[in-house]
Amino acid sequence: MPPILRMQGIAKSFPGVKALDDVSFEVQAGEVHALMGENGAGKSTLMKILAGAYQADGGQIYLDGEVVTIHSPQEATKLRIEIIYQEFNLVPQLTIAENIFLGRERRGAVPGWLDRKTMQDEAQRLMDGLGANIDIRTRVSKLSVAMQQMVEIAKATSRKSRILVMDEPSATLTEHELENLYRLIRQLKEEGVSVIYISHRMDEVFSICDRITVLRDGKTVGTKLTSEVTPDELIKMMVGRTLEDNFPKVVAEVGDTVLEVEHLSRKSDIHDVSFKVKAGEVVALAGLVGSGRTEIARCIFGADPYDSGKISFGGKPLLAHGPGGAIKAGIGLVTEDRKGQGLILDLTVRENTTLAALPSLSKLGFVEKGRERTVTQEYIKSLDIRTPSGEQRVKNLSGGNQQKVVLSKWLLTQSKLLILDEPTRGIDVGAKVEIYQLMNRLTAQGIGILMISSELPEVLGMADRVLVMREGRMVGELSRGEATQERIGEMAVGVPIREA
Amino acid sequence: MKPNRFSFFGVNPGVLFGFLFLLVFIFITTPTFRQVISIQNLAQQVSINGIIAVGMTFVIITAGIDLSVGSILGFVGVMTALALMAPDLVAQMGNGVMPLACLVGLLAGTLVGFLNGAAVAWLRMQPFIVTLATMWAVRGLAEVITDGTPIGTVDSDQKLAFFRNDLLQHKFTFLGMGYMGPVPVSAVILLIVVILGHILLTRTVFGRHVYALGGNAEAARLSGVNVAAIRISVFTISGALAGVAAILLMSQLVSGQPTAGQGYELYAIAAVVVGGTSLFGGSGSVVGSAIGALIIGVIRMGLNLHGISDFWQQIVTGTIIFLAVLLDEVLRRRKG
Repeated sequence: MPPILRMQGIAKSFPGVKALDDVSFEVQAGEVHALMGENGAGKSTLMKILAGAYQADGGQIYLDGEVVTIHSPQEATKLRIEIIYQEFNLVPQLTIAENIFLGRERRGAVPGWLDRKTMQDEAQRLMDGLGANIDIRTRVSKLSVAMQQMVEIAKATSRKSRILVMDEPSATLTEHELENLYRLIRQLKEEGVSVIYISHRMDEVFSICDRITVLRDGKTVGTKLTSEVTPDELIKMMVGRTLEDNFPKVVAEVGDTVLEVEHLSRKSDIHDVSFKVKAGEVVALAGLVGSGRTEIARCIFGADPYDSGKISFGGKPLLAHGPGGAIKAGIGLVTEDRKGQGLILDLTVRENTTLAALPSLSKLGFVEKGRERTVTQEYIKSLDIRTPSGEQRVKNLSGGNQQKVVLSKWLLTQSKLLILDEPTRGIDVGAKVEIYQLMNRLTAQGIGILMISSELPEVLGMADRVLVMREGRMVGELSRGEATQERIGEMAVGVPIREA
Repeated sequence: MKPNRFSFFGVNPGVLFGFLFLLVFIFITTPTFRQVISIQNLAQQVSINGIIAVGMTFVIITAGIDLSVGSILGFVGVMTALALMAPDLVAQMGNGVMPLACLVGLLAGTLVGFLNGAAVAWLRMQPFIVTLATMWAVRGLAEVITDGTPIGTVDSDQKLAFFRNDLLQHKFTFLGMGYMGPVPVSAVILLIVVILGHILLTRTVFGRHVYALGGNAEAARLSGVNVAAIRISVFTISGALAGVAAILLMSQLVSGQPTAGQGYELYAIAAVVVGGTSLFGGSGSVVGSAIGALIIGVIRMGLNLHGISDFWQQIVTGTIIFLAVLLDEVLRRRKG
């Protein structure tokens, strides 16, 4: 029996870059096949060719053994190939149900009328099946990032595709939501659907995928059965070398309290939260998406208001401060949404790096461009930001390098506390380790770090203390020694988890 | 991908070469255009739209829009003329009334701009709606103040009549129609406005914050940029520069006409967009907008010199603006 999909000798060039060079890859019916590789390895390009978004310069695509050409996303849909992109394609003003059926609305008895009832029932069934407990008449703009991801998954699965591509679906999901996603994938597999799963996360690749194909620099490195390969071997295939340690944690000397939050409350989502962060310490806020972690971070940074409670920094209370006040006090916020909130994509590396520290790099309101260039060069060097120059627009940088630009911005303001919200989201393995090493360097300098992460291995690997949140409350604190995946999971969900 | 691609004061090469091509074309096909007086007329006409367009550029870089500038032209012209013609002031101050009148006009324009900005920043209203509202309200105010008649004709007060006439028809016209050597004064003012605008946008912290706000308002806010202050500032600048343009226009019209400047907001927006500034915000250049104003001015003048009717001029102007922006868009898409 021929494989359901075979991509043979695929090549694709963009001006100045050879994105894919003779890539071959095949998928069996009912298989969950992982596609791995560092950012820029060519995974997304390959999948965009499959989905008709790009045209290959060379090579062939076979479906059920027959050559096909896919000129547009519409043609891919006709061939029953669906792709869930990393960037969401939802209309924020429409409801969940309306988004799921966008472009193929069910018609009512009267021509031109919608059969809303059928669509809503089906949408609700799809979302319930994903374990997403939500009214499908909710507008997408009101949803968290994780819930939007669920809607994308529901939308794609509702189309009855035979090949479903998921481009890092888990990047925004927490462990609990992941379980629902895994359940869905296993169900699809039983129905004979082939799933191509792009991910950076070893744990999930090993728990749900049958085979793994690794790409590096636009070439196929190899395909392995999941049962016959170890994570270390995979990393070696991806980066072309062995990484010493995924979490190179160095425990730093702990100093005085930098940040103290007392009885922080906000009517809707934060309930009486108190904690401290000391100099040189990495404190992780763990919990499900929507448990109030990001909300607390934004209150501390002055980005959103809160109802009651007290936030002190360096022993002094921070009163009704905006982001400007927080920055002046010495707080930096690395947001979870790097492109939407962290960077100004059309500006250069230099302009992004200095944005928060511009007043200190200027005289009488005039920017001192010479000094600006010098400090930018220093950060490009010390953080090893891979960019042709400081004058490159940040939108042309990879995720890991973009994140380093955001970090440079907050190092330049002499932050004493860094709030890192999902610091390694969408960043490849090699760059992740660099970010962790950078965290070590910062704590060694006496900077306190408050880290929000949905990746438990990251929390366990990097945190000195773990604070677990559930539904806006702080439900527990674990030291580095006490913390395990199970204990954090139980606290976050509120019930003991059955062994998976 | 190359970071140091060719750029002339932030202007896209397409805009610049398009303008040079147009200039050469008109120069060859239109003998009358080669006369000094034609160039001087062009400079006078373009200076008004150019000055407004510089202010509009600030607003558009923050992804805003200012529809009220045309009405400010009328309102400020009226206010300036009223101050200039006030018998008591003229009696007391003599020629000194002229700078005072300019100041009154400038303040009036600045105030409208500030109110636009305050509504956008503090009341969080959309720039399009806010300035649409002030566009009507300010125009109405100019009509109400003047009861619909231009301010300029001198009345029965015989003693002052001669002096006031002289003031309005000879002295004050220096701004809009005077010359410094061969160069029109209004063109000099445009040049100063463009240079100051360019420096403000490209060399100062304020300018950087304008681009940052337009590129990503939330990221700018979370980087400590005072978003409200920047928004108010750009609208205030737009209002103030509309005020400057209004004083020049009033001086050219030799009266404060409440209906002056109708539709000028659209000319300014066209100049900014033809000059390569994106309506989505985050990028753009003051020099580009000035060139955009020149392109529109040269086209209209060329058509005029060829004796083409006003009706056809509108069709040709519309078509050329459409094609210019289309060309820019296509070039940008190819660059990726």
